[in-house]
Amino acid sequence: MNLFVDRYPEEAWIVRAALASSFLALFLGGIMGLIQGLHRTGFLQIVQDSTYYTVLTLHGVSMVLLFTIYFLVGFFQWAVTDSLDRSAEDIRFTKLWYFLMVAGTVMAAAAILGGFTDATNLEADVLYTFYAPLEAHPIFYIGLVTFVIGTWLAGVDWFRSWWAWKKEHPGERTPLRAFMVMTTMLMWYLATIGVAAAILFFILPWSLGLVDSVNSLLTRTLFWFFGHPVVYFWLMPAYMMWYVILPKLAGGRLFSDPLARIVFVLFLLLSVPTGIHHQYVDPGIAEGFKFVAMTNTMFLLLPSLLTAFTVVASMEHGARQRGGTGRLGWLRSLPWNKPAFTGMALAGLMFAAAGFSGMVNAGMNLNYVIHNTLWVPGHFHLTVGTAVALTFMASTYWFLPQITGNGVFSQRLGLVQVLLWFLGMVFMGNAMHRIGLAGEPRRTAEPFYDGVTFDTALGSISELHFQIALGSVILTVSLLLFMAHLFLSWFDVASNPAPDNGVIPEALSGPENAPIVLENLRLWTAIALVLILLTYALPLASIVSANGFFGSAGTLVGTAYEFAVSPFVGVVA
Amino acid sequence: MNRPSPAGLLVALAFGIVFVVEGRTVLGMLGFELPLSVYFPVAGLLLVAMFVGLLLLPKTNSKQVAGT
Repeated sequence: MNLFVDRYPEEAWIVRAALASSFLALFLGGIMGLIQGLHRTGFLQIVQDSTYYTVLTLHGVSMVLLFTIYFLVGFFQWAVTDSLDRSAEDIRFTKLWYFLMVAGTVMAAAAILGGFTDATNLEADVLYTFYAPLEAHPIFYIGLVTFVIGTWLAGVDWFRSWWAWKKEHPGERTPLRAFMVMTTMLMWYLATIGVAAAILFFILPWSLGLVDSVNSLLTRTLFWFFGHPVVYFWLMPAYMMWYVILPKLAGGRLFSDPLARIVFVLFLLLSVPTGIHHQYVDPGIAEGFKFVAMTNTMFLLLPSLLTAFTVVASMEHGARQRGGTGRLGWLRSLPWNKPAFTGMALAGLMFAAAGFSGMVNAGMNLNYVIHNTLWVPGHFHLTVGTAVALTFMASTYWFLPQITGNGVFSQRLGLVQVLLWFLGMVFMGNAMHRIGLAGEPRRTAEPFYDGVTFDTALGSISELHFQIALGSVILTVSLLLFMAHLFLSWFDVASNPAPDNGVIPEALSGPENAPIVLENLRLWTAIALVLILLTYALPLASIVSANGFFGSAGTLVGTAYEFAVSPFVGVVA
Repeated sequence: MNRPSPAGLLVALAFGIVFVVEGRTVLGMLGFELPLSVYFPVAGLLLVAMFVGLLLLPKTNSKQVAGT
């Protein structure tokens, strides 16, 4: 047996722990999603409207921060260890970052869960987009910071492995999976500068009462500095699975290793200087800065389109290796009976739809039509809710035996589960987009207001609400199936032997064909920094010069701070 | 054409449901807004007919690749 768990038992333990944390968050967030879906459509309201925001925060934080990031750290630990074929440099350090993340999670979760009861002053009904003026208990922000520091240390851990590997393999190209992890983590370091600054310098002091107020626009802008690239932090591991695991499952090989590297470098360059496209309707940011962000965002379509080409080409190659023929007839030769393959392929398909709705979000004038409507959650339920979540769940059917040594309980049950997720999201995503076009707002427990009607271009609002509720229920059934299946597989109820998944095959066009400059991650990071400076320096300077670091209400701490820092900003502006 | 495997039938059914749901949107965009009480029974019957049609096809040769 060549299983990961046999070769690297200690690293496999960390991967299992990270995945268990991830799926716990998925379960909790999923149940909150069902409550929301039924509440705002009026089918079942078991929480008060005021509690809805606690539910919404728990759903958002659990799904988009905890589920995704715990999964990706586990997956990255596997990818680095397996592709470099070396143990962690110091397993105690590996455990340290994992337990730091857990400690952060416990603090943030305690604050959010406090919102369900009046017995404590803990509260964090600030949604996952936790910028001002919404304010949470300090423990929420401290928890988030601790969690992010855990991810930073995880990156350090993987970089240590990579540097050690490079010393032993001078002149060799970094294995593709390790290269993908390094570029993703570099992007993450750059992106989290924004959220770290927002929390540490402004929101946390404000929440602790050290300053009376904050500049809300500044915290929003710093949040979106992080808030858009975090999408790519979730997506890049999903892309890695599409590049690495999907071609193998299809029976073939990756079409082009160099193209995959270029895609990840492009994500490193372009993910961060785009966040202002979330702020098209914010006053206080000049239109020109928004236009720059829009242009950068449109450039981001390039790596996604390259991925679509490469992944489909790899799948076609695999299908033809399996005997597939014809222009489209090869599609029938793909292994649709494997939930890992089917789930990932459907996730990719849904991501294409998400790309189109994303272009609407990214376009300045079209964005005004759908801004702050249910269209936007419709979009990200296709990206993070399907492209990422379904890929992660589907890949688990392939991945779990590697880290537990146990076979999957039932491939058929897994297939039903991924198909149900796909169906549920089609109902919900379709209806959310259409209802958003009718103008129904997002982030509200009761979308109906006296004297306001939402006119749909087609069908009726009640029909679309039914689709959302139906989609929520189907998704929950799929989630419960997944959790049950996970439990049965993890604890080896069926005593199925783990299949030997063998090695990841070499790409058709291998790493030797990649330009050597792609290996120069210092260069790409420096270019990414320059792009960030070009995009953000002037808007941030403008925001600060208009309303200061802490808004109009000065405080002793705030004034002293501004006294020390603002002259530099004046020079920049 | 042979009958798809159980997995193939499941995938086909899922896509069929998606096409039925999105078909109403597409028809509406083209100017044909059919009442729910008409569209879904008709589209549902068509879907069932197609599914039964697939079931009536001869079974896949066992030598063919699994899952096709």
